[in-house]
Amino acid sequence: MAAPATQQIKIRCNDEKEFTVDRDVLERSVLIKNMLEDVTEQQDAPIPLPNVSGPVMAKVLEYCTHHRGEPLPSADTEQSQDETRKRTTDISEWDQKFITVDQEMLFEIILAANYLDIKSLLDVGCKTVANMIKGKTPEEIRKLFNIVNDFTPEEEAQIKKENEWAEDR
Amino acid sequence: MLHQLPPELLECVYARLDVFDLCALATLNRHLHFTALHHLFSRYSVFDPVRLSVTFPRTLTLSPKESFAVIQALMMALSFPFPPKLLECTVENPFPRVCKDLVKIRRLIEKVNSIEAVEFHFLLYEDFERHRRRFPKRRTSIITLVRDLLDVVAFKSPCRKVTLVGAVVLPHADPFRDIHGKYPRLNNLVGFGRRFLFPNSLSNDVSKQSNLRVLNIHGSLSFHRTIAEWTFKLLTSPSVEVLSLRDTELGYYLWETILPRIYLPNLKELYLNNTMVDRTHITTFLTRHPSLVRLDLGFSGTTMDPTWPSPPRHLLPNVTWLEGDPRFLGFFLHSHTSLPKVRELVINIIVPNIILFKYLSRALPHVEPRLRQLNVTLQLSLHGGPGSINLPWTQSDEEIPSCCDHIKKLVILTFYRRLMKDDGEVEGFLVWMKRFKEVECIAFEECHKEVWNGAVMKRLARGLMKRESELKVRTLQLNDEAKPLEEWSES
Repeated sequence: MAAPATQQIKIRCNDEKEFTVDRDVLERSVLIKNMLEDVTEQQDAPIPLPNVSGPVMAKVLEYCTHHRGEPLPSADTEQSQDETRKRTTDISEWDQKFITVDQEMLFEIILAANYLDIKSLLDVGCKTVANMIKGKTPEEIRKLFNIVNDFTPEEEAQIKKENEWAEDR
Repeated sequence: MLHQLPPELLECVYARLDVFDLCALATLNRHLHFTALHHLFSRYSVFDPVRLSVTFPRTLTLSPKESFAVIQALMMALSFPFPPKLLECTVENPFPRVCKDLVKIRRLIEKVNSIEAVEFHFLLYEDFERHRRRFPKRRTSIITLVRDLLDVVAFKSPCRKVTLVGAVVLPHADPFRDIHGKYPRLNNLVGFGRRFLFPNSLSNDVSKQSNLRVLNIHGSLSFHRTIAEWTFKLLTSPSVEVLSLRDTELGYYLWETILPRIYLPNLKELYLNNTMVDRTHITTFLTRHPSLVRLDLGFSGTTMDPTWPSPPRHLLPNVTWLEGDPRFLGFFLHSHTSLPKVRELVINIIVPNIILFKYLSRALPHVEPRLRQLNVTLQLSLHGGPGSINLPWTQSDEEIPSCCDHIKKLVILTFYRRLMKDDGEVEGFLVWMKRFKEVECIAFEECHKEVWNGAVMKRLARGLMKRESELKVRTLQLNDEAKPLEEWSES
């Protein structure tokens, strides 16, 4: 199924924005890779990606272009949780810079990486979120992500009580 | 935003967080509360929050902070949505940091009012001392450790049921030394391990008070005379209703010393599994305990022989459940008037000992008319594994007594990996099954999960469905999971 690396593929995002990209760059997305393999004939119509917007796709393509040619992680490299946790902080310098975006974009990227099935990007995104949470107090996290409290007053009192008990962490 | 991520993406984030961060998240809102705690539970294998269990396996690499934090997280989950009723706590070869946490577990138990029962398991191994030396600054001794553990058990005031499961496999330590009067609520005591000691002080304490209802001593009566003496004290607690002496190393000599001295006026259930049972001692013991309802002599050895003279009349007048190998059954069910109340009969056979089938055919025929009214289960133990055993269905036509017609349930105990490995063997098994015409359920128990998967059960279920007209089997059971054939065949 290997196509020449120079083959150009068109994609269309949900805001009608279109991109023309080298096939090998796009194939970092397992979703698109499978799509392309399913389609045998050359098609001119752009691939529609209804779940991704133009600005997010631009960001995702930046990532894919930088990492083009790297081996794709195989599906069965399931790591144990311990290993995953240990590897939390190791985000490469380029990725770090790449992912330094506002929160909205960060979550959009995670959702897009999940939809497009780009494991390494999803990984970078989740690691970044995890690093933002690490070591913070509940109130800091609440502010950071603007999380609305939807506990009933009773439930909240209960949770407060339990936490008090465990203050000497 | 964060809380709007779908659960599977939240999982990706959670996998990279430690317990503290997860706890913090859980306090923020409902969605995060449930997802974070769910993740935490699955990370530490706590699947059922109602039957809460806190486990510190030896191999789990918890950071010193974490071991406590797990408890903290569980604590948070306790208040809602499902207040736990039972707390199971396992501490296996604990290190000093865990010892510190025990005090916190105690506070946890004190705090959570919904907990009605505590099961506390602790296991100390001989290498505990060696590990302890790696923490020279901590002065925690085994004695303090065990005291902390017992505090947990003893001080939870509203707890109605407390179980202490302990195995202390230490050569010369009495961790219970100088602890007195601390067990007002201890009503279930389980000890196991090859050299478990119920030391003097503990047995003194427990035997004095009247709450001890269940006593399990697994593999723990040893040859040492003094230890046997200590254990004996436990065996005289008048409140004991359930006595289980499994896998003991007691020789006849010690039975001779101990059994005649035990009198438990309220004894209802007696389990003497994998133990050598002597006819004279067991008969006198049973005569003294007419209150017995359940007698389980599963896989016990004996010098019994079906040619023995029959036991005294009116032995075991109240027993409704009897389990044992055919020699015992033949002995106790010697006539059509013996064991008038028996309803459940479980026949154990260790498969290489095919001769037991012969005992069965000699022992049971005269009570055969009664078998019709009983729930008869045949339990075959195939734990010997390939090479050491001949599977009964691969052997030439071994004579099976006619009383097998009354067997309603067949239980096969096995972790034998290659059982039913191909259609040929399944076929052989099904042909062999024809002699158990009335069996309604076949159960495979103690099976290794990885080996006994749905595929084997599916194969069996399909085979059984084809023979619907010849066999009555409608249910297959794998470990705890019993399902009708149709469900297995589609799984």
